Amino acid sequence: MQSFLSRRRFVLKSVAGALAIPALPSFAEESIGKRSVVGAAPGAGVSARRFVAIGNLLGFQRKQLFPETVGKGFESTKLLEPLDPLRNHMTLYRGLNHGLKGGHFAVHTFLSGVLHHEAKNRPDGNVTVDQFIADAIGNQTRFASLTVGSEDGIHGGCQLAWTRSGIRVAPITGPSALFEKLFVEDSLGQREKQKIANGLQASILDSMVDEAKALSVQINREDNEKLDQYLSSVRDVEKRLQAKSKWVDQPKPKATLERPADRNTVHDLPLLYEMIALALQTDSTRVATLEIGGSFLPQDLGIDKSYHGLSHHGNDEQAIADLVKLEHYQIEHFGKFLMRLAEINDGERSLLDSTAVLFGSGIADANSHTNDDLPIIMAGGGYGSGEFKHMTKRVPLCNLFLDVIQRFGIPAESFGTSTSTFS
Amino acid sequence: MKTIVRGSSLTHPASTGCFHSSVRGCWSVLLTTFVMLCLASFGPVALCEERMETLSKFLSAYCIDCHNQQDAQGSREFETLKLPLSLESHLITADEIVDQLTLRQMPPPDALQPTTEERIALVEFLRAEMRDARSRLQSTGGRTVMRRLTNREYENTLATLFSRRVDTLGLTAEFPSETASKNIDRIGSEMITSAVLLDQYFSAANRLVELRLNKPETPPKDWQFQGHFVQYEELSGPHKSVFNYRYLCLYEQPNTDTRQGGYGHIEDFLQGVPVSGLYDIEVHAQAMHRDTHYDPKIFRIDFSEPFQLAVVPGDIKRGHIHYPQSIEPILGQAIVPDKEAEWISFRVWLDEGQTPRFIFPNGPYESRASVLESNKKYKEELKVEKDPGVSRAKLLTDGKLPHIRIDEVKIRGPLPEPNGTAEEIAVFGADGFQPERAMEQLFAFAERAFRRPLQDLDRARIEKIYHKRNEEQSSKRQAALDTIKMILCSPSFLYLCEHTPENEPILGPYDIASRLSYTLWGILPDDILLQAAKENKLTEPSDLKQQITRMLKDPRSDEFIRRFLDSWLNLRVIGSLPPPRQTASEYYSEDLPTSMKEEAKHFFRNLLDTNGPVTDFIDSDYVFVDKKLPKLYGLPEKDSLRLADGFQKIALANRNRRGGVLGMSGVLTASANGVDTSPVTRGVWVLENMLGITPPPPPDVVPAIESDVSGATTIRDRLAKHRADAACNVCHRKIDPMGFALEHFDPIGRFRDKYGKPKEGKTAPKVDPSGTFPSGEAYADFAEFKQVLSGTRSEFFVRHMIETMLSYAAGRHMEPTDRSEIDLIAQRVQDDAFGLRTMVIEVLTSEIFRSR
Repeated sequence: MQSFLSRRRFVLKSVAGALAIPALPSFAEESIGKRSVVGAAPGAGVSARRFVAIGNLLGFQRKQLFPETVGKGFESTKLLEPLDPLRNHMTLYRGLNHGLKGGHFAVHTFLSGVLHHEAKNRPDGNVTVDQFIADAIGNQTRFASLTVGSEDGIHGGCQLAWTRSGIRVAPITGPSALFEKLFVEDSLGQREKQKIANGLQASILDSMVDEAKALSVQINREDNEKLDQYLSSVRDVEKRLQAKSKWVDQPKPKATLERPADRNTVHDLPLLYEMIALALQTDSTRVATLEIGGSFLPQDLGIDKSYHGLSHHGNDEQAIADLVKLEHYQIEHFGKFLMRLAEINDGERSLLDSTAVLFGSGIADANSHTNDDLPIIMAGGGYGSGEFKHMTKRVPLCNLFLDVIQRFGIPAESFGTSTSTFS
Repeated sequence: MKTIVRGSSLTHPASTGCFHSSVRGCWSVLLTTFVMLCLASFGPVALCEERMETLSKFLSAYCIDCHNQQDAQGSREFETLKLPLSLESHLITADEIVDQLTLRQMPPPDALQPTTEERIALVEFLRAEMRDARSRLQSTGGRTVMRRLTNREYENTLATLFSRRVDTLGLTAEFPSETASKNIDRIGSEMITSAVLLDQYFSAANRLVELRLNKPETPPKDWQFQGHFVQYEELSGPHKSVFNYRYLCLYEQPNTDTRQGGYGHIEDFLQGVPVSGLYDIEVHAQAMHRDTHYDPKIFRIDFSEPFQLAVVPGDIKRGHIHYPQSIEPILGQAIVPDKEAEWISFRVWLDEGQTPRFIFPNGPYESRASVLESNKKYKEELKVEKDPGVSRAKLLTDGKLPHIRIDEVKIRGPLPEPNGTAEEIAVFGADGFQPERAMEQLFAFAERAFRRPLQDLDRARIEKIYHKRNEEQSSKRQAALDTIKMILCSPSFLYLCEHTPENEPILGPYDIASRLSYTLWGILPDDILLQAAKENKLTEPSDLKQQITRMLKDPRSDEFIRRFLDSWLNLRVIGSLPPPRQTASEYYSEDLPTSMKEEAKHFFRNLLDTNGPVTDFIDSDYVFVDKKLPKLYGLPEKDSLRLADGFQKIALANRNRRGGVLGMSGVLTASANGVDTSPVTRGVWVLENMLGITPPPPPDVVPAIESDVSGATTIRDRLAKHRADAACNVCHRKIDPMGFALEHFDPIGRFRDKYGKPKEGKTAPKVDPSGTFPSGEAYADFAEFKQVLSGTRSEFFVRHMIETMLSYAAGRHMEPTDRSEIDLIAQRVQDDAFGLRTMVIEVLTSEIFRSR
């Protein structure tokens, strides 16, 4: 299985560059082996807006990523090469950032613009753009959002998604669990049981709140902070429960692919992407994130070094070459994901047209620990200007996030550290 | 706070603060002198204005020209930096200044430069400020913050309350993973309760109660399976052509990379058992070709040991039936006869939908590779013209491939429990659920679950939900079961919420009972402990001591040993740092992680039972090994020990190889990263875990100092270069000598004289294990290193162990206010010949442990 996949990917990679855009759908079809994985056609949600964000832990080599020429005529680079056939479906940004520092300690701000420990002082905490959107539109799908990828990594990992109450949304780490979540249907009996359980859980939540309130007068101040965390979690569960009750009778989409076994993040990456595409196609969710973090091991691409160790390349040529290989792999599969979305019909247009896809990292340069020159690619969903935009003055990345949010029709005037809307 | 202090890189563990022991004391002259080495001349005692002036003077002279509020070059400005550091952003700034000065990257070359002394003085000054700021921000005022049960404690508590194993249910499999703080995973202030976790608590309670207390009445049934043993995809072909699926064969241990015949399932029993219960499984099995003349190297197993057969649960809804699944505790294990097939019986617990699967724990490593190799090597003997590759048909008909062969399986169950199920009795009492006594029974259960007498409010809540569910559901039993679920989601069950009134510093008896029980057994208090609490016999140290002694004698206290070792020596990471399979196959084929952890446990247990000196952890003339470790350690017992002997205490002839925790492969694995070793990483490990000294984190921008296996330079040479820089030397002179002596051990703790394989035309560099402590003591090798540690650092060691044990037991980090009592405990431990049991008893009867 493993060698089969990688061999096929290799062949595809070598032809990818030669193909022009018009040929894209058929090419993309081939890229997933003509599997018609999902039986059910999308019903509700046709042409609805979606959002996907992919973040990596250690950034990208800017020299090998960013072109020199701005505008539509930007030249391809070593790292952009896998995206060549897609250039009219994307915009590459340079100069967007959160104005934060902290190196690895700020990677988790990628989608929020706010450091976790400063969340307390803000009304929306350090909520990330994916969770912000999910809070607004998540009740329309079975899953308000899907958080997928590495659990951890250096200094905590990507920690891509955070709720309003300042708690990290832990990712689903492998294709097997993701498959179960998306496609494995509960039996009728199980669903009946689920309904009863939902009713019971609602009563129990009430009882938990009563008890916690009674407790709060008996315990000391430090304990009360913990109890607050508990109570805000209870409120979150109540919301989840409402969503759960709504979907319990709706059938899950059918998958014709077999439940995959987990291997490692490197080899599972195409599958994770594939299942995110399916989740969007089947309208199981409209918001997804993918974190490429500590479980993405260079060893699985034949490089016997630590990723973080390599990232401090000190301009060593071999280290940079290794990093470029790792990053190229990540971008290559990002490109395949976009192509996959492009070949899925979504009403009048393609799924890629409906989906804003953000790709990048919360760290700009892992060698010198800066977070200001972030690599940002936006694709699909209205972001296909085909341009390389190099901001001459610093623009808050949250302005772009606000734009993403507003395109959903969500009436927000600001997000995170945004200063204005985005143009 | 935690985002800045947590986590570690492979070669540069980040840390919580400056080079200091977390709680300093004036316990001995030695200690003080050592601390002097670590502290800057600027102490936190200096007045705030004076300290501010020290900082401003330096910054105005060398930094502010560019890093002022207007220019803020490099997006950094220092004008607003204030002492004491109280904002996270200021901590980050201070950290960056330290890094830049250390690396001499700032001020830029064309600017006015501070002298080396000035630079180092400011670096140490800022480190002290950062350390103080962090301990201030992290302080919980010397109090334990209400903590929830760890996932493990939660599961074990349920198993105890229900009087039956629950590990087959995987109740916590989808819980968020725990966060450890200074390696301890039960620090109240650091533990997170998220919505996901709360939701999971409900799902877990719901599943547990429904599966175990709401089983449909199911009469026992017999199943018999013969033939049609379809196996893993690639095995199907030969098994059909050679056997027509007559046999279920196990070809490899489950712990392999390429899976082929590691799990034997019953094709006609995929649906699993209809109901949770005890089942009798009989297997007609034979060990095939254990006497094979094939080269043992192909299989990498010990043919002198009889083949083992074990049963684990499988569930087709949870993943591939041929692959490892997240829930597969070993349900039963037996030896398989060599001569002819015999019936082997297991009585196992299976939950609804689970099907038994057979594994071969000491089977060949990577069956696919061994088939390939056997086919190639014994081609002529097998009389094949072309190499059959991975096909095993010929090997099965004419070859001598070692494996286990099963030809029949019988299953019977669920076995009746005529007096009521164990769960029913545990939850509702000997008579089972009695509707007319429902309230009384539920109160009794809640009291056990809450580990304290009920209050009126508790009773009211229980009554309320029972009546509500009774109205909504038709059956009283179902209402009672739903109430049980509520109790299991209750904060009083999930948290150790200590009800001692605010004005009483010492915990009440029930709070002590829980704290003690979760510390020593990892579960709720037993009846004896609760009775003692009821009689108010736990608040006095003498009463407490009696209970501690009783509980330590009970084998359940192994839980304390294991979990404490995970926290103290960070053995928890063993298994998550997998070495490459090519260079350390025995790590997998012999399941070394298990032996590694057990070695440490036996060592600890022996000292605990005999009240032996804790200084043996630094160095000892004995080790505890099973049959597997002597091979790794090069001990003669590899030939004399049998697997069945378990762990034995073995006298060491040569302390230069083993002895003490630093010679344990588990520690040597935990202090490496799986792939390579570094004196820096290991040095930091020794400082942090053995001496309680946390070195400052390295500048973030320093590339990892990696070992070069090509033979050109050793890591030692490169570190020497690194130390030539005065700023690097400030820390590395203290760190590196703590790691040099461990260079003799590879990432899984094997002894080595040379580094790796040399490249062509070069010789592999030799290991140089010598070094000199920053205080001047020189050592030539590992044995001498340990002697220096024992001779000059044992007070540090003892003290750190006490602090860690206190933090572990009380669920909070130690703070400066705890110093005097720690001094006292340390003195008592020393006076009692450093006895480990004395230490444990002193810690658990201390005021720190007994206070809220």
